[in-house]
Order: sequence, then structure tokens, then C-alpha cells
Amino acid sequence: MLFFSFFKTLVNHEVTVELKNDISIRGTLKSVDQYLNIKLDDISVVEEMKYPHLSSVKNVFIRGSVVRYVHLPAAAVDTPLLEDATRREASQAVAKAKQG
Amino acid sequence: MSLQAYINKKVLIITVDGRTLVGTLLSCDQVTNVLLEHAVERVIREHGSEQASEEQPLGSYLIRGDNVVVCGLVDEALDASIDWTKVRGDVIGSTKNI
Repeated sequence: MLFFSFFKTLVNHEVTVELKNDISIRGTLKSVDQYLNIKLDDISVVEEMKYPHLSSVKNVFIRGSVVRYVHLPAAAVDTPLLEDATRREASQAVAKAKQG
Repeated sequence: MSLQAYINKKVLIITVDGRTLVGTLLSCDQVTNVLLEHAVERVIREHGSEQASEEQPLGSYLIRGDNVVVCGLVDEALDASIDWTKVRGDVIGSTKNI
């Protein structure tokens, strides 16, 4: 759930999504869902000469299960906030484990 | 779901085994199962290949969600302006570690 929320904060930022088949797609992050499926707008394939298959495509839906990396703009990541959220989620998990 | 926005539009799907399918998206669901009408497989030959790249008509295709890598919305004007028989590119790899 944390990364779903995190990706939602990155909407409208430029990201590069590297897939498990080694294709990298750069574009503007338009939406993300619970499976971390990603929608990008105004895309370009990083090695266009190698992979011309997507050259008539401007708008893609990428299935979350095939994503290897998402390269993020460092400036758009609020590290302290992300740390806090991580600790909060971890302590909630501990509290839940004690209850159960 | 987010693929709903592409319904009745021309889409290009790259599958887990590296194939490229183009067709009209008729239906989709939560787990990315997709139904393509007038599907064609776009076979893009490697750089330096003598053979022309080609399109193989397939009819209607139901693609199980776990085989979908990318579903792109095709810009039809841009797509029509490209002579796909002359396009050359690398073979797309699998997303599986075999």
C-alpha cells in the first residue's frame, strides 16, 4: 500500500520504466493502480532504433508484474516523508502482530 | 480499470514472449485479460535481414492477462504514415527468466 501511495505522489512527473525484457520507456506518469500497473503519456523508448515496435504509440499501459525498475526524478522524492511512512507502516505491522 | 479508456480503440500489445499484436480492444478486465478484434501480429525483422517485415492476420484474440507486458494506444494517423514492411528492429526478449 505504501508504494501505491508513493507512486500517486509522482503523478505528472517524468519517469523511466525499465521492463523485464530490457526495454526502457520514458514518459509522464499518468496513473498507477493497486497492482502498480502504470500508465505513461507522451512516451519514448530509450533505444528507439533497437525497439521500433512502439513508435506509433504515445500512451501506454504497463502491467505492474513486468516492471523491473522505475527510474525516478530525485527532486520529486521526499525522502524524510518516505522514511516516516515506512516506519509508520512497520510499527503498525508490529502492533497488529502483537494483537493477533 | 485503467484499460477501460482504450476500449474500441486500436491498441498494440507486447506479450511476455516478445510478440507484437495490433488490434481493436473489445474488452478487458481487472487482471488485464484482453480481447482483440481484427488482431494482426506485426513481425519486425532484425537489422540486416533480407526479408520484409510483415503483418499476419489472426482474427479475434483473447490474451490472458499474465501474458501482457504493455498495452499501448496506437496513434492511427502516425501508424498509417509508417511503412511497417521497412521497419527493422531487435527481437524483443521475454520477461521470464528461462
